[in-house]
Order: sequence, then C-alpha cells, then structure tokens
Amino acid sequence: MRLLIKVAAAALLLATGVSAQETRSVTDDAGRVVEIPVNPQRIVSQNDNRLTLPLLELGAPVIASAGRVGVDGKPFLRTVPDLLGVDFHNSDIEFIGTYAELDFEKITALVPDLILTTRDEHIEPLSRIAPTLLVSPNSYPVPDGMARIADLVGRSAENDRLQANYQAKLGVVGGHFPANVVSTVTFSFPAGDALYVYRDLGALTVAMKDLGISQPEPFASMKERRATLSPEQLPSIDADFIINFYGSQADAGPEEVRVGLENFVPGWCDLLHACREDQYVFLPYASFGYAWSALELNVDLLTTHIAGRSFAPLN
Amino acid sequence: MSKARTVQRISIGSAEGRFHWLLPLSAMSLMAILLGILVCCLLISLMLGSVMLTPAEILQSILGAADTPDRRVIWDFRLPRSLAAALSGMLLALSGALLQNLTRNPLADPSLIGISQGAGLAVVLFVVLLPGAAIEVRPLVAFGGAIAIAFLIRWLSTSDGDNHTLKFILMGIGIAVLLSAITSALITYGEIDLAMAALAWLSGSLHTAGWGDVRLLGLCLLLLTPLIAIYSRPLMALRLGKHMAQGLGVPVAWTEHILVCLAAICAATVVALFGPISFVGLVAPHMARRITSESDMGLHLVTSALCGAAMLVLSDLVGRVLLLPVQFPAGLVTALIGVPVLLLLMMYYTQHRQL
Repeated sequence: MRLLIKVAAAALLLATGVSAQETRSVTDDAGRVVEIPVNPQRIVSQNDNRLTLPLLELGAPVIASAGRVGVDGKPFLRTVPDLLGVDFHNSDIEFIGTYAELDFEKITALVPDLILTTRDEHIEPLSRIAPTLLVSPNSYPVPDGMARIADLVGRSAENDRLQANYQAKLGVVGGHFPANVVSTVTFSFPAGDALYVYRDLGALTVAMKDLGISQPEPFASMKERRATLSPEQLPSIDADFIINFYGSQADAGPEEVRVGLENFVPGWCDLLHACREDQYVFLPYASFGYAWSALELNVDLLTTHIAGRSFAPLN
Repeated sequence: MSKARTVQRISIGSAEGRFHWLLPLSAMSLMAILLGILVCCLLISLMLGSVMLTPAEILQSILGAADTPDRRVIWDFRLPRSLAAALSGMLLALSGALLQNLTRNPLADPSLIGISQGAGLAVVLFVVLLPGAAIEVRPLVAFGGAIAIAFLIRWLSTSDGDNHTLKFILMGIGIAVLLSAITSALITYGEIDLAMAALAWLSGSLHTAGWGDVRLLGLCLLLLTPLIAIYSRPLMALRLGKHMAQGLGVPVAWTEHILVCLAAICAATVVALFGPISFVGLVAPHMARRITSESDMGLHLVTSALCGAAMLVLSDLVGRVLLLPVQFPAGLVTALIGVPVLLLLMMYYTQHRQL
C-alpha cells in the first residue's frame, strides 16, 4: 500500500512537471520582484555574449538562446564558441531569433521555466511565457555580474570555483607586468566607417585593471562606456599600447581592420606612437566576452602582448 | 439609372436621424469581399509561424480550456499580434486617406505631418536622456511627441492667417527632415546600449503586441470612426477646393483643423505603441482608389481602412515567417513593399498628369 502511494505521488509530481518546482523570490535589475524556480531546468537566454556565455560557463541548463545570423544565413553565438566551444550546430541549444527581435512563439513552444533578458521591452511579452528576469550585465564589472547571474540560476558554488581559478592565475602572472602601463581600448570595423573608444568593455577592461594597466584621460574618466571619435580625433587615442579587435570571420581579420583604419584616416599608423613602435595590439572578439574564461584569456593575451616584451613608452 | 441606384440602397441606420447611413448594394458587396479577404489574411497569419497550426487546431486552441503550448502561442501571441496588425493598418490607412484628400496630394501620408519623426525624436530623447525611466511611459512620450509636432507644423503653416496646402506640405517635409537629423545625431553619439534600444523601437515592430494593445487600438478606432464619418462629407466638399467648400457652407479652417487632428491621432496611436510603420498610410488609400471611386468618401475611407488592415497583417506575417525564427519588423517589410509601390504610383501619376 505504501509503495502504491509513493508511486502515485511520483506520478503526480511528474504530471505537474514545472509547476511542482520549488520557488523563491528575487529582485531583478528592473527592481521587479519575481518568483523563480530555485533550480531552473529549462533556461532561455535573450543575449548570447552577455547572458548565454556566463550561463553556460556556470553550467546552467540553457535550452535556447538568441544569436546572430552570419553572411551565409546560418545562426551563431557570438564569443561563446571562441571561449567554450559551444555553438548552435554542436549543441542542443535552440536558436530563438536575434537579441532585438525574439521569436516568442518558439520560446513558448519550448516551455522554459526561467527566461533571462537584457532588454526591458521584452519583459512583458516574455513574462507571458515563464518567469522572466531583467539582468543588465553591462551595469556590473564581470566578477560582480557573474556572481549575480550565478545566484539567480542557483550556480553560486560553481561561480566561487571559477573565481578562485582566476584569482590564482592573476597571482601567478600579475607580478610580471611593468608599472604605469597605459593602454587605450578601441574598436573599429573593417569597413572603416567609425572608431570607438571604450572605458568599459566586458572582461578586457576588468583584466587590465586587475593587472595594473590604466587607460589614458579623458577616456578613463568619461561618463559613458563608449565614445565615438571623428578622424581628426585619432591622435587622442595614442598611448603606450592601443588595443583593437578582430573577428573570427574571414572578412573581419586583423589585416581587414587595418585596411578599415586606412580608409578612416589615410596614413593613420604614422600618426600614432603605439603603431609606429609596433605596440598596436589586435585581440579576438572573445576577449570582451562576459565570463571568467574571458578574464583568464585576457590575462594570457595581455601577458603575451605587454608583459612578455620590451616596449617604448609614449611619455 | 439614378432611380435604380436609389432602389438598391440599403439602410443601415435610422432614417429619422440626422445622418442617413445608406449604402448601395454594390458597396455592401465590396465591403463584404474586402472583409472576407481580411479574415483570410488573419486566418493565414494565425496558421503560420514557428508552430504551424491547422484551422481546426486554431479553433481548438481558442475555444479549448486546456493550457497547452499551442493555446498559449495562439492566445498569448499570434492572435493579439494579428489583430493589432489589422487595427493598426486600419488607423494608418485612415490617417493617410484623410491627409491625401485634405491636402489633395496623392503622396501624402502620416509622416507628412511629422507624426513618425515627432514620435521618433521624443522616444530617442526619452531613452537616451532618461535611461532609468519606466518603459511603460514610452507610448505616452511617443504619442505626445507625435501630436506636438503635428500641431507645430499645422500652426506654422497657418500662423500668418493664410492657409495654403502647399505651405503645409513643405513645412511638414522641412520639420520632418530636421527632426530626423536630430534623432540620427542622438543615436550616433548616444550610449551604445541606449542607442540600440532606441533603434529597435524606430524599426517599427509588432512583435511585442498583446491584448492591452488590441484593446487600446480598438477603443481608438471605436471613438474616432464616428467623428471621421461625420467629417467625411465636409472632406468631400474640400476636395472640390476651398472656395467651393465655403460656397457649400463648410467652415473650411475649422474643418481642416479637425481633420488634421483626426489623422494625427490615428497615426500617433499606432506609432506610440509599435514605432514608425511607413507606407501603409500612403499605399492603402491608393489601393482603395483602384477599387472604389472617391466620389463616395465614406466608402473610400472604409475601403482604405480594410486595405490597410490586410496590408499590415500580411507585412507582419511575412516579417514573422520569412526566415524563421529570425523576425523582421513589420516597418521594414512595409518599407520594402512600399518603396516599389511608391515608384509605380509616381510613374502612374506622371503618365496621367495627376501630380
């Protein structure tokens, strides 16, 4: 008889499925109090390199994610395969549209138990499907943001382990860095139509700070995360080192970005001390990812490009 | 012929009231056909998407009580979105038809009176300057911006006591270009995350449409339709020219103000909810003109509204299913369809010397 009751209870639990999950109340970054599962099992992410990447690194069960569409028409996850080797084609993660225009119907059909989004206009429609949390990773330095996301999905223990690994790595290489190194963080496209300077760019600027590399004024103290520069402002980015980025696609390599800069300002390299001295550094897009692995990658890249060589300081 | 036509009219209103809502049988048939086409468009829209459904499954999802994923797809997303598209298309088409007849310019649409640009600038200012502000306020900000600019253009074009249609059109184009330039500058030099949020709204998408939007659009249509019906007769007179309208006893300036207000509210409501959706207001009245004569203004307006509804339902459907699960904003699809249609119209009118 007791066995029968146990079987019936188990069947009832299976039948009620998601609704039987234990829940708790959390406050999201929009200030909303939301009831979410303690251990979510079917998570949907609206942003690949700001949410899907940290979620996968923390070992959270992501069943679907927004992504990008390549020139070949195939969807991909930005920075996730570079850091974790995971993409739509080699995993069970479903593609649910681009981060600005999600396919809400497909998300509904996937029956998620928790949805994370970075966009406030998605909160209302996504809340019709499942408990939805607004998370603004760009409002937090990567370590704080990782801890926040880990707490929301019940993966704090894994986050503590990853943080300890990063701190250990910092301890090993931190002492190799020269003092008072100044580097600008820039971004430009192969098309050469714009040049941006960043004060805060995901894991890169956090790792730079942890390694004692500073950014030049006025960029270090600007209020916005990013500034757009005109061609005549190019000399203002000069520093001991200048960092720019290249993508994994064939048409976004370092050489293509260099050609783009030549289109932006002909003879640009001659105008910059960092470029003349071969201290203009190209890092992969993965380095501005939002994950502990991105922080560790930056420690390696910055050690190789800055600590592992002699250089001519600007001043 | 005239007698036979009178015999075929069907009364759909009180014969003792001030307005006699009489429609010829042919007009009733035409509206029934257009309504049938719209219902077909809606049905196709309900069937297609990431989850393909048959009409029977749709009916079961709507009428059934079980909380299945199919029911949630239909009830929470596809049905309100399709209805919102139909109602938005009606409002935009009515706005365009009113403006085209008022200005006697076949290329007039809501952007002519700064609706899209006013709403766009207001939203971008709101998003960039007040990033922490509640998103629920955004439709109100957009509506306020749209109406304010529409009235500003109207006021500037009539401030010297004169009231030339050409001045109204040129003023509208000038102000719209100025506002677009300011909006572009704010997006280019604003904080990237905020600029991206503003850009997404500016693309004009129905993808977040819900039952709240349907209720608001329905209420707007319900309140404005009687007013538009009442002012359709003076509008008909205005088409003959201002002097002729005055001779027929129409208070020209007052009527024009009211008609501009009605057109502005129709379009501003849609823009406030979903962002600028271009070309529906331009193209739908022309589609209606191919089907019906403008000599019956009421019928022309109804036909325009039904054409606009079908056009936006289909545009949203195309954007939703073309490259699943990638979603294209309806505003982008209407522009892709609208520009070739606009070029064809220009060629047509050039040939027929109507421009």
